[in-house]
Amino acid sequence: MAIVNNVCWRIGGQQGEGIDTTGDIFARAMVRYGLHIYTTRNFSSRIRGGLTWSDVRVSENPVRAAADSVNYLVALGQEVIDGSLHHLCDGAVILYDSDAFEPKLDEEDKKRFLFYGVPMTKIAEEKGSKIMKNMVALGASAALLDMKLDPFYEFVEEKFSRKGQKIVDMNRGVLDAAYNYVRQGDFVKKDPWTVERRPLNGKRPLLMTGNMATAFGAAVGGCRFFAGYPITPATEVMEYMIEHVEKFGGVVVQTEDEIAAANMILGAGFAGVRAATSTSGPGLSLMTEAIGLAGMAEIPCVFIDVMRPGPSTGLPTKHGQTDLLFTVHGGHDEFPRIVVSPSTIEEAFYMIQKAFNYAEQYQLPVFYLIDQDLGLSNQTVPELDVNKVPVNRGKLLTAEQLAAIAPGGYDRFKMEKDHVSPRAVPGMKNGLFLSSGSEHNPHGVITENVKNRNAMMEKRAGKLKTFRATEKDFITETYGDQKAKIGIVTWGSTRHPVDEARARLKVEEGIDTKVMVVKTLWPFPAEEMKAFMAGCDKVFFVEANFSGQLASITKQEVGGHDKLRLITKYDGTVFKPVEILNKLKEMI
Amino acid sequence: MAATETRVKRDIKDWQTAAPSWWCPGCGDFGVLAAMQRALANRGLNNEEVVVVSGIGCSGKITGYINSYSYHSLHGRATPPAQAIKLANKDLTVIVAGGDGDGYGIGAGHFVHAVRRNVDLTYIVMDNNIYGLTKGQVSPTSGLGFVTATTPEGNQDQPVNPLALFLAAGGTFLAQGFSGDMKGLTAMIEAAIEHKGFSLINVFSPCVTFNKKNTYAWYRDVLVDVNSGEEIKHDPSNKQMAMQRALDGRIYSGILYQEKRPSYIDHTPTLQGPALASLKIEDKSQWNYAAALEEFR
Repeated sequence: MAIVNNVCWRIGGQQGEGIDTTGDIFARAMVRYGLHIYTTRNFSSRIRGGLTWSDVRVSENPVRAAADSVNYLVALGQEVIDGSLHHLCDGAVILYDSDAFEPKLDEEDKKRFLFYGVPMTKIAEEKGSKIMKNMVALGASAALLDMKLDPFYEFVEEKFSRKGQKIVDMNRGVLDAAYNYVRQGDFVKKDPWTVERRPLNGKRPLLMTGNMATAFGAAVGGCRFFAGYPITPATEVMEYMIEHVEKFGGVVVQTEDEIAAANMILGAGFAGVRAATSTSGPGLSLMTEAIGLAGMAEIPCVFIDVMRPGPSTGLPTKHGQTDLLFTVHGGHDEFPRIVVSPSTIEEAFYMIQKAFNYAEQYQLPVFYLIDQDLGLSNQTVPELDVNKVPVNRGKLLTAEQLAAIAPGGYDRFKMEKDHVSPRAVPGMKNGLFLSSGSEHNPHGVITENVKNRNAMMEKRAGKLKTFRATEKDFITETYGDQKAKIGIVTWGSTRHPVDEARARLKVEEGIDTKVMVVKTLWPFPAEEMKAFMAGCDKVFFVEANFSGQLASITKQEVGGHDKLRLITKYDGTVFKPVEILNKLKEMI
Repeated sequence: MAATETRVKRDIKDWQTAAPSWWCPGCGDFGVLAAMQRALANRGLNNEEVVVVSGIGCSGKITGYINSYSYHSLHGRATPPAQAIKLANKDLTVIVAGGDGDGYGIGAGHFVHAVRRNVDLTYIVMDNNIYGLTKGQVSPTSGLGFVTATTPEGNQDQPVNPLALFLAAGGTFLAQGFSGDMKGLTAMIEAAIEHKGFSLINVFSPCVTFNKKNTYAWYRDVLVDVNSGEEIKHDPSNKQMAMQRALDGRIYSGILYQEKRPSYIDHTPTLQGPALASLKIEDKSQWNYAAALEEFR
């Protein structure tokens, strides 16, 4: 029986062979065919060489998690087959470059798969050039999947037309030759996977990664200053920032290190410009001292953390939800901070804008945690509204408001009911103040006065109480059967394999579950969590870290130790729905 | 400030604050503070258009004593926020003041790159050859053999040569002053503020409590003024001459090097219009976000 529009396609080769680009073209062709996609990338911390692959999961409906297994594999070398063996389903198609190698597998494995050898190098050289081998892979894949080449032609036109008709024709020629090679003679399709065109309702859907949504969202949220230091996997955010922040008149600085990057965004925040940096664990470790200064001096700033597994250098190119405890507790002594983490790409776009609002509304550092799966996966995304999150600059004073204060009477750190003081920025008349990481009085003068110290600690901490009482969006999301005795708590992109797993749990075992996705992780939504856990016998925390960091905070803030169960993964790979499903079945 | 604007000289009192000083009586930093205040008054700047940034240490306290917007940062980290403040609002005059440990020790990495970047700001290092606030430890500019609490057998590490380091990193304005020479130092600070690019003034600012070697009298004795006329003919546009003086073992005062080169702001396309801080980000309709979104299809 044919399996229509439900296939996971992989291309793999050595880094430097254009694997990502080919995956991207395949994904874009699927979107042009009216389908939804979800991509994942696997790579290592080196420039050339080293196995890399790009997976494209194709579906009739929106899809947000990696597939359980791979159905189609395009292998540019034997090592791709070796590395993919345990990801392939029975009956999977292996399409390989027969100019480069003949697959070597033991007889047992050989029987599991369908092999198609295509002379990729030869076809590319004959019809175009050697570098077009990837086009051969695409043309051959299209032929096997029983689809037309139109969406690939379309892509080639759009992408290469400015390079001249000759390049367009060459690429088309290569696609055709590969397609015809597969379909020659008495070709009979033996595998069940096919891809069919679906009508596009109006515009093509948006296609973006979480990192792109973050950078573009930052610009839309008013970010006009960005400082950063290259670090995997956050460099991409910085590169997108150059594109988007500069497009809207902002400045991006590559600093000498993360310490400088953090201190720069504090400087820009102090000067009244919305500022952010992006980094990953090791960089965040270096930034910690500056983060404390932002807390103490009440400076708005946003830290984008594209998390990676540690400790230390850890697994630089892999996936993890590893920095929750660090961002909640990092720094000496105590100061308020807000920690948010998007669970979808559209949330990334809106939440980063919220992060910039929070930074100014509550005058503190905001951490925006994004996991690598959400950051790097290309997905079809629902329509986004650039006006949905208005820019809220909090208590930023106007010149008129400052002028109304007696000369010299402005208190930058004034005690207010909501603990947030009206803010002046350099350049404004009658707003002079000293911004310091030393304890200071409401006027900003450094002092060790005991009464003042206590009042200031309480003032700064009090801002989070105001936050909890005020903010309603993107705190938590709950769904499922509210009467269910089994609860599942998760955050970030892990919600998507969770969603698939619980749907299958219902079908296979008839077990009802409910889910809470925590989006604002600090200040911790304790009341919401308490209410969610109340009716449950067991609450499973599904997280891509070692000890269940969200579970730890829950124990600290809510309790419920007897109900808590952990499903954690810390090997650097993304949860597959089936892994969560099996754990749930075992532990319920 | 616009170059064509005429500025009226103001009173030094306009730049003083009521905050009580934490410095020891006789500290060299008082002289630097007064020279800074006088330079700001002479330039006729308005208080709200000046930001003074400091690090941590005795020198770092200076931000509490100048009547401007002030930013007291972290130890060694004064130059990064100062650069960002200037980029965020290029209409501001930004002055960074720190110490030798702050700038050439813990902050040496930032120092080199701030010089390279050539953002238009003035960096005044109050060099007392000692860690004062922590009560007398060796500093990056302490001389060889110098005995301190942490070098009881005498310092064995080569002292940093900030002048040579600055020139090697491609800096565009270099001067060396002395807190005992109010007039000369004030003129230097004014020239540095006027300079478009990153300016360094290394100022000898004696620590009267913990450094009994590099005293006021010692500096008066060893300093050689590059403008002293007959004996020395100095050309501040000659980088090789400046480097030679940085390395010849004598201790000079005066403007050693100045070069006209586009600053970071000059060659950044998005900084040619109004200051970033004045952009109206609140009004989303001013920005064509919707068109940019279409590029994701």
